[in-house]
Amino acid sequence: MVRDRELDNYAIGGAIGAVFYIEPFATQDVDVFVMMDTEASGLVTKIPGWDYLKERGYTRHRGEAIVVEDWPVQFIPVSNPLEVEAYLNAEVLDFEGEPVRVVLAEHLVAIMLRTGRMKDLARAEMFFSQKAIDKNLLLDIVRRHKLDEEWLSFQAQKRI
Amino acid sequence: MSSKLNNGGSVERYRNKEAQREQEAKRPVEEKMEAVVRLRDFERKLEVIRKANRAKRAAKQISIEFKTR
Repeated sequence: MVRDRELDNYAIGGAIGAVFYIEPFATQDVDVFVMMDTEASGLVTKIPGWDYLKERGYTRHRGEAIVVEDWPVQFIPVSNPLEVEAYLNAEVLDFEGEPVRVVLAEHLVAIMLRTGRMKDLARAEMFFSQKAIDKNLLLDIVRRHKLDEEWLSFQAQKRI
Repeated sequence: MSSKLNNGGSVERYRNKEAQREQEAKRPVEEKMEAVVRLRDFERKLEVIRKANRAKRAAKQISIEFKTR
């Protein structure tokens, strides 16, 4: 879609993004962060990529996701400065010869800290136990995006 | 750009996804197993990439160029 200029750019986040850094865990959806304009009300007017895929025969939905080659793909408009930063700094990784933009491990963990569900925190813990994260970079993100409370709570649970 | 953003959006979105997953948990076992096998194959293909990513971090080769705050 980037090649065809349907999207300016994208970055894979969520659980699938995490699999590029740490060992497996159960997940299914491919979360694709995209940048788009919204109306003054905050409503998203049109999600890029959706019509593009429909025109190419991908018409099956599962919840809010569109199914592409058996993978449920959800286009997620970046909705806060942390996600914008994650989107902008995504790194290009090579997957079987194809370049794939994936959110940095440090931003993935910061988003997990913000979301704060038990499974997010368990997943974040795996980044540390598998040495898949630069702690200084994460702490810089935590400080700038005011996630100090979430970070302290994470540490207090002796997760790292 | 910040005026267009909603700080609480991501939390709400993940709540919705969780509700969706609860629905999907009721799918037939065969369908769920297909997803597990597909995911397992995908994860195996990423082993080399994970190793390279760990090495980059050990060597402090990652930086954040664009800061929004």
